[in-house]
Amino acid sequence: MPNLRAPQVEIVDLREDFVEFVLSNTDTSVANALRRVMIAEVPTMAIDLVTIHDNSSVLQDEFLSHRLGLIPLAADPGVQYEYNYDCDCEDYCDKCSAVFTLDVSWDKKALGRPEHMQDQPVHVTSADLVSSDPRLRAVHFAPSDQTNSDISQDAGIIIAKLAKGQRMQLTAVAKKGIAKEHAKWSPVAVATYKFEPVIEINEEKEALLTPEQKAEFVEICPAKVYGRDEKSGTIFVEHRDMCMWRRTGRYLRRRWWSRLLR
Amino acid sequence: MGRGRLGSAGATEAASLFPFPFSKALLSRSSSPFESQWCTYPFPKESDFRKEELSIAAAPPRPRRLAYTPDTKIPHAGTFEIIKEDHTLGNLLRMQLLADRQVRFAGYMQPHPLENKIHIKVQTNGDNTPVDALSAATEDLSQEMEGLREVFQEQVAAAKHAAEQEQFGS
Ligand SMILES: [Zn+2]
Repeated sequence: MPNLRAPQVEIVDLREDFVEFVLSNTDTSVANALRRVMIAEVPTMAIDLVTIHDNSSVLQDEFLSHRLGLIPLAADPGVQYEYNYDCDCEDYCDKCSAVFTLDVSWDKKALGRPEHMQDQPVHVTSADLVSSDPRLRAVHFAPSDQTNSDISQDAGIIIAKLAKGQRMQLTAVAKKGIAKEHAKWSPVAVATYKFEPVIEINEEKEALLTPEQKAEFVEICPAKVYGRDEKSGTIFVEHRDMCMWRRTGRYLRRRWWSRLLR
Repeated sequence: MGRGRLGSAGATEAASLFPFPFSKALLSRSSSPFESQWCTYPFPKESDFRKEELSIAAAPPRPRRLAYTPDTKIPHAGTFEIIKEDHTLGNLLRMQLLADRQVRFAGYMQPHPLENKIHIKVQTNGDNTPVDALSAATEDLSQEMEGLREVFQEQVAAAKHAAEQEQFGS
C-alpha cells in the first residue's frame, strides 16, 4: 500500500449535538467526502407515508405531510432498522418502520384551559406524535432518564395551529432513508470544513522592534489577529480564525516590518 | 427466471433514455450476462444463468455497480463507470489515484447531473493496469477510513473523559 496516509484528529469542541475537530495529515478530498457523506448518505428515520383521517385545520393535507416529513426523529443509540425496500414485509413492519399517531382537537385541549385563554388557538407540535416504537420518537423527547433535562424540556416543533372546533387526526409511517433521496433524511443541520491558517511570527525580527512598533503592529491588523503579552510585550497570534490573510498582508507589505511574518 | 429479469430491468430503463447506441452499449455492459450489446432478451435461457443464480436458497444477484472499459486508442488507459455514486467518491478516488506515481492521468466526471453515475478515467505508465491502480487506491482509502474512524473514536472518548474530569474536579 504505497500511498497510505494516517489521518490525525484533534477534537476542538464536543457537545451533545456539536463537534468541531482538526483533521490533518490527509487530503481535502477526504474532508469533503466526510462532509458530503454526513449531509447526504448517513441513513436516518423520517416520516415518509402519512394517512390523514381528519384534517380541518387551515393547512392542506399535502402541506401537512411535508411538514411531518421534516420533523427530525431520534432513535436510541445502536438501534438499527432495515431499509423498507430491502425488508421482507409486504408493506411495512416493525423491522423497517415505526408508526406515529397524532390526534389533536381544539375542543379537547381548550377544555382544560383557564377562562381567559379559551379562545386561543391550540398548537399541534412534534410532542403530540405518539410513537408505536419506544425506541424511536420525535427529537428532543427522549425518556427523561437518558438525556440531560435542558434538552428534553423543549416545547416541541410546531406543526400547525388549530382554531376553535378544528381537529387533526393522522397516522404517519417513518422509514429509513438517506438524504440523497430527500433532505428530510439528513442527520445534520450543518456539516462544513475550512482550511486553518498557519501564522508564524519571526522572533528574530520581532526582537528588533521597539515596544511602540510592536503595539502598532498589533493595532494595525484590521482583523485583530494578533495580541500582545502584557508583561513581556511579545506578539502572539490571538485570533487565528479572524485572519484575512490577503488584506492584512497587503497592508503590512507596504511597511518594512511586514518581514516580521515568516 | 423472474429474478434474473428483474436484475436487468434498471439498465434497460436507463438505456431507453438515451437513444444513441453509444450509451446503450455502455450501460448494457454493466448488466447481466444474458443481455447482448444491442438488445435485451425478454426470456433468458436457462444456460444464461450460473448455477447459484438458479438456486432458490442463494441470495439474489446484486446489480453490478462497477464496469471497466479499456480505451481503444490510448495505451494503459480506460474508463470506470460507477453506478449510484457521485462527487463524494469521484473526487476521493481521483485524488488518491493522483497520489500514485504509476498513474499518469486520473480524472472523474458525472456525465449528466440526472444520471446517477460517474466515470473515472485513468491512464498508468504501463507498470500496472488502470484496474490495479484503482484497486490500490480503493484499498488505501478504505484502510485510511478505517484508521480515521479509530482515531476519531479514540479522540472523542478522550475528550469526553477530559470533560468529565473537569466537571468532577471543580
Ligand atoms: Zn418491513
